Amino acid sequence: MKRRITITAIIGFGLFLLLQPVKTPALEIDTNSYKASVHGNMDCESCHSRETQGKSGDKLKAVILENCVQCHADADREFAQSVHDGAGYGPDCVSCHGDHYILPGSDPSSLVYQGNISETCGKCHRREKVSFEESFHGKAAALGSKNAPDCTTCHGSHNILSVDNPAALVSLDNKTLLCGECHVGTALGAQFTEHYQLEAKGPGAPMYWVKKVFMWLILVVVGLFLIHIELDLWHKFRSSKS
Amino acid sequence: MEKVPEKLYNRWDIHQRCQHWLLMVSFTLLAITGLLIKFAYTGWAQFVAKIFVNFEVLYSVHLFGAAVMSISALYHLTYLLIKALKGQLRGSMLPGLKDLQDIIKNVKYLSGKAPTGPKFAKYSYKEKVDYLAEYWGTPVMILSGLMLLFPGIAADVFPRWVVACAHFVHQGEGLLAILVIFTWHLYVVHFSPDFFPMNRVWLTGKVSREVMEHEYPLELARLEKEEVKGNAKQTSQE
Ligand code: HEC
Ligand code: HEC
Ligand code: HEC
Ligand code: HEC
Ligand code: HEC
Ligand code: HEC
Repeated sequence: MKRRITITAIIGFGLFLLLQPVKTPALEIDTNSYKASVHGNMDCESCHSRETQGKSGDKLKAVILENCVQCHADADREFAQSVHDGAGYGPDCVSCHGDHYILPGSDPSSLVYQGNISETCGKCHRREKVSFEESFHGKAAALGSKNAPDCTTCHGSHNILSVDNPAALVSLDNKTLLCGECHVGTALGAQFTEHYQLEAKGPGAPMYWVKKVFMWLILVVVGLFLIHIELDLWHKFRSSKS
Repeated sequence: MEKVPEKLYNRWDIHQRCQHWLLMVSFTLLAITGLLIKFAYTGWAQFVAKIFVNFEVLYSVHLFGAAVMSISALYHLTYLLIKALKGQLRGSMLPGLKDLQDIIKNVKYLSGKAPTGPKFAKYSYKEKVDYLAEYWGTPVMILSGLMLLFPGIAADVFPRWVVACAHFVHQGEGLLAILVIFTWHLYVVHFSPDFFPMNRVWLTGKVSREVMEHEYPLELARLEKEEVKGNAKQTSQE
């Protein structure tokens, strides 16, 4: 009797879970997170203005982006001069900041927070992200260092320029200045590929081989040690039995 | 019947024990903070790193550990130098042909192909491997670490790619050292069935006659010969 009640209860609960209405997160927004965002006390129409009605997808987004810059003219002015604007397939405000739950850059959940920025830029700049996260700068930034540079320290945020542009923070002429903010000496930045890849050929080759050699050294040394230890324990085991 | 106190032999003097303490403490600090930095992009490292309040504290602990380890290395070198000047340095830690033969003998013995194992002098090849791994690793870590702490100066002195390589040398050698300590060192002094639960030399500096007979028979023979020669005052020779 008792068992039947339990089984019925379990099946009933399972059905209850299954029959829950399927949520469509794309079309709903989380009011609590929205209220906590920087735009939390604005009404929806500030961005979803009348012009957006009847539009969807890219067309909708284009209109909303127009509205962002109504209120954020400074950001737009800088962005308009950057390598990203007008790249067509480059980022817009939303790719770096998100849409409904924008947080101040100092908030650890913000997309542009120091610890997350490599992820945000890395959506499009995979190779640079990998090399940055391998560097000491990247590791320090991930653990919340205040003194280590992240992508935006070296490139800027809205005003990112092409590496070939002499005015860029990372142009050949400015590199020494950039690294000089935190390091002494002149040779550190000059004539070196900042985002080298760990590949057998190219600027990252020496580092690639150093890493490989140590990997093998570790495998061989620790492997030999383990064999020796096994031998000893095995021997002790046998001699304690006899 | 009254228990006769066991005869004890001096193995490590107070300086050697101090060096071991310095090395042990600094190594632990460096290993913990170093691993956290190396694996900074994993969830567990970011979680554990919170113990250190913020990155600046964590990094300072790493640099503090580095300073202590450098001091212990200098201490050790000075110690060796003074011993050498006093004529008490035999080089008992240096590897030799005998160690190679010992390894072969021991492997044969442990795998049941020989009835007895090798006889060791003051330090067995196992302990020598442990020591020499440290002897090689410490300067590598100190030098590569200094290059990374002062990359600007290093890049003015060396080609730039050398500085970038130091980054990987530091990580690779660090990981190697940690794994060596976790496998070999713990085995040699703790889990080796001869010493379990622990070889207490690092605390007391002394070894019992029983262990001497079993582990270091050649050293025991040498000490006894000295005693016969009337060299009553036992100086610990290295
Ligand atoms: C800061 C500007 C901003 C505010 C304020 C805002 N939205 Fe949005 N919303 C956007 C953007 C930008 C998109 C388009 C995202 C995309 O296409 O990637 C969007 C898309 C949407 C969509 C999906 C529409 C579709 O067709 O895909 C819904 C639903 C929505 N918003 C609801 C709301 C509601 C409800 C509010 C008020 C609580 C609100 N939004 C406030 C910027 C905003
Ligand atoms: C390439 C990524 C990227 C794009 C594209 C981008 N931003 Fe930003 N934005 C950032 C970063 C990084 C910060 C700096 C956050 C910090 O330092 O705390 C920032 C900061 C801001 C700030 C606050 C600080 C300030 O400078 O006033 C505003 C407002 C802002 N962005 C609006 C915009 C708008 C509007 C757009 C679209 C025109 C836009 N952003 C496009 C990355 C971006
Ligand atoms: C109606 C005006 C308005 C519109 C439209 C608007 N914002 Fe804002 N936004 C604000 C105000 C006001 C703040 C400042 C909130 C504060 O400082 O507490 C803000 C803050 C921000 C910040 C955070 C700045 C910081 O402190 O780091 C970002 C990023 C941002 N907005 C991006 C956008 C983006 C992207 C859009 C379009 C999708 C947009 N805004 C649309 C008014 C607007
Ligand atoms: C949505 C994808 C996207 C995101 C997100 C993005 N970028 Fe870009 N970025 C691009 C594209 C596309 C270009 C190439 C533009 C061109 O060459 O015209 C570019 C160009 C650049 C360049 C110049 C490259 C050169 O060859 O000179 C730099 C530097 C750069 N981005 C840095 C960043 C940083 C830093 C961030 C994060 C704050 C970021 N990007 C986020 C797409 C993106
Ligand atoms: C915002 C400050 C800042 C800037 C800008 C900066 N660095 Fe660093 N960098 C650091 C800090 C902090 C360290 C850690 C070492 C220390 O304590 O000085 C470091 C360490 C390094 C190291 C050694 C660490 C390792 O493991 O590789 C190199 C190499 C380096 N930086 C290169 C550069 C180069 C090249 C530039 C310019 C493109 C640059 N840095 C710009 C803050 C900075
Ligand atoms: C320490 C400063 C520094 C940091 C941090 C940094 N960069 Fe760079 N970046 C540079 C320099 C310098 C160049 C110029 C190219 C060179 O010197 O090889 C560059 C070049 C680039 C380029 C152009 C293509 C290339 O590889 O040459 C892109 C894209 C880029 N960076 C994206 C990023 C992204 C994304 C991040 C964060 C994940 C980032 N950078 C972090 C200094 C930095």
